Amino acid sequence: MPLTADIKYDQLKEILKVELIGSLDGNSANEFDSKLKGEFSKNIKLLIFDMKELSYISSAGIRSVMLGLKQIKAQGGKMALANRQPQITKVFEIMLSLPDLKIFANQKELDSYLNKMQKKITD
Amino acid sequence: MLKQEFHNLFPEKSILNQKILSLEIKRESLIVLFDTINKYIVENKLLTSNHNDLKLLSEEAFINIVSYSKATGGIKVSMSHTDKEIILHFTDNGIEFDPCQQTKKNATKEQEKTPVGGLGIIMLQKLSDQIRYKRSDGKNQLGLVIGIS
Repeated sequence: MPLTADIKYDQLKEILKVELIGSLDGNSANEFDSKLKGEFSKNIKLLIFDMKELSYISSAGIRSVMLGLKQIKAQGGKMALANRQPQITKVFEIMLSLPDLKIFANQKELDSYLNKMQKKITD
Repeated sequence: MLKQEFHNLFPEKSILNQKILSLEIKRESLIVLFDTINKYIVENKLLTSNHNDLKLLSEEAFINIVSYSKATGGIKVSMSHTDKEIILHFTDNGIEFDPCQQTKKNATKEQEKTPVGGLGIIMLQKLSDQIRYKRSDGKNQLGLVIGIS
């Protein structure tokens, strides 16, 4: 299954949301890396990977996520992973804990976090 | 030839329905590999909860060869099974590389600095029930075993 990456930027909140659909693997990761890299010229405080429709990820895909983390950290932002399916969670768990990641079990937790972030920004 | 090499690597195993596949050394061949594995599982009624793990194992081994081995002439892959396990066997003529000898690395927050192959080796070690490696006749022989559950 190929990968589709639907990328949306909220300029006001400075949030980049990347919805991943399909398979982030050794065949699709390089193209995705290039696509994502092009987004980092924007001001981004929070990078969200929405993995609700991501059916498969391999170490090449994990590396893509890590490259995203590296880029967002370099510009002082944070990264979040939302809506991971069990098979995706398993791969992340194999790579052990990822201390710099905010990980959300579902959309509700993500929304709650975003509300807090928004409050911080506007306060 | 591949059947003999398989027997040299797994002399004790009585396998069923060995399927042999020749793949070009390029990332796009992953699609063919996944497709063949899916068909093999269905045709042999190997309905297993480890299906995703099997895909991961095959990808990590295959991409590692494509990325680092400098092999020429293609990669041979065989799939076979017993009543308890599925066995993947990869053969290439690239530089000698034994994943069994790689130090198990803990993933850390510096993970983005780990080469792709490094993460792939972690996956192979964590997901397979057994890894066997042999270098013979200038070829890498990698065998990966995963249980049917």
